[in-house]
Amino acid sequence: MPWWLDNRRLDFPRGYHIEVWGGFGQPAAGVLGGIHQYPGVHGWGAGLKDDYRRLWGTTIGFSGRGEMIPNEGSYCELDPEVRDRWGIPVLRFHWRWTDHETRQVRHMQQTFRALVEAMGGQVFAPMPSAEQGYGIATGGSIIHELGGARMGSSARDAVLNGYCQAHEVPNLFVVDGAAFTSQADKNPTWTILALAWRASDRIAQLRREGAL
Amino acid sequence: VSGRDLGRRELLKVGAAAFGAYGGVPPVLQAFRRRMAAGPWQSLFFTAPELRAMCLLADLILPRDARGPAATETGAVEYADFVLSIAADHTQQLWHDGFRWLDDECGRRFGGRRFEECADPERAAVLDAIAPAPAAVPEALRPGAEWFVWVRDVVAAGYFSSRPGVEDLGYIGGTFNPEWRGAPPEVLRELGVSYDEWDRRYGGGQ
Repeated sequence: MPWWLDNRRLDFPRGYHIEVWGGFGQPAAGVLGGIHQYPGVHGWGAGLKDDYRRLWGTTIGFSGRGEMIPNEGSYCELDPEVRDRWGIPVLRFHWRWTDHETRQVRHMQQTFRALVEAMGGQVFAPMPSAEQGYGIATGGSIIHELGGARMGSSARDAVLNGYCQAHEVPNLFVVDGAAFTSQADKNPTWTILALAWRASDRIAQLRREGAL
Repeated sequence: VSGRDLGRRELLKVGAAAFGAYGGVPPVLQAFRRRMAAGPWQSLFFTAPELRAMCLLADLILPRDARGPAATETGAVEYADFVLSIAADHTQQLWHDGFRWLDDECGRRFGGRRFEECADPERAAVLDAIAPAPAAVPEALRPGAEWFVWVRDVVAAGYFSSRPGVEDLGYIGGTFNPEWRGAPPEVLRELGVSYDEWDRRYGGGQ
């Protein structure tokens, strides 16, 4: 379900899409796992067996995939002390959610709960509190691997220019996902392809001009 | 919800997502079926007393009824044994502890007898005590109730992923339908579409 709302009437920027799961899937490992959490089920025996038959396929779940606005508190750097077994400094990650993200996740939770109720369903899990970030996932746990050699107009805070060309090494072009400065809620492959295409045109042009 | 519950739920979600993405029979079930086809069955995880208790538990949890066999008749216990044989150390320990807890609880209630030595009404009484959601049972019974969640889940997974279990649920996916000739003509007419364009582009014909 793609993003559908107008940010001018919301308390957070950008948006999210919804992934929906549920239905009469092939019963396999984990089928109806945690059935004790369903309302009114039997604990064991013939009644429980009927509960499995009754409840299979009746659950629906939602995942929100939101866009995070990059902030200066989230970055990685070489660790000044910790080294790996070859003596090379390891990466150290810093992560900070802002109100943008927690408000967005609160909006997801409210929306998903409203959807379940509108369908005549019953919501299982209690609403996570503000202290729990409204259930926001651990930073980095649901991602596409993007960034690392950011695109930008200045060599001061970016590695690549608008053509995925390194500011400091003119004959180096980086045409994977490393150029991204943020991550939309969308899958990135087509954007990577478009950026690579644009970079390729630029390479051809510079080559013709004798600039590379 | 305990931290462990959450971890397990996350795990199931990840499993379900991977399964949804790739379809077909999940690797653990494939490996289990290969092992079952390999020859005479021998326990990989359960000790002999645990195996006897597990068989009793499985058929109490999912007994034979008009629509399907008892859990032990579907390979659910062998499935549990296989899954646990490749489980993490702490999960294996949790199961050994669970069986011990069950025998201790039976012993406490019924004059030192272990679960398998109890009479049917006695076993039923213990299950009634530990089968509700762990949060709903008294503190003293909670370790047993938390373990029983695992037991019930793995018995159900074994039962409902077996052929009789799949038939019991009425799952009809994954079945080749050689009679399929596309959407019925009256539906195509109603929607104002036809397969002609498709056939022109992609060759059509059967």
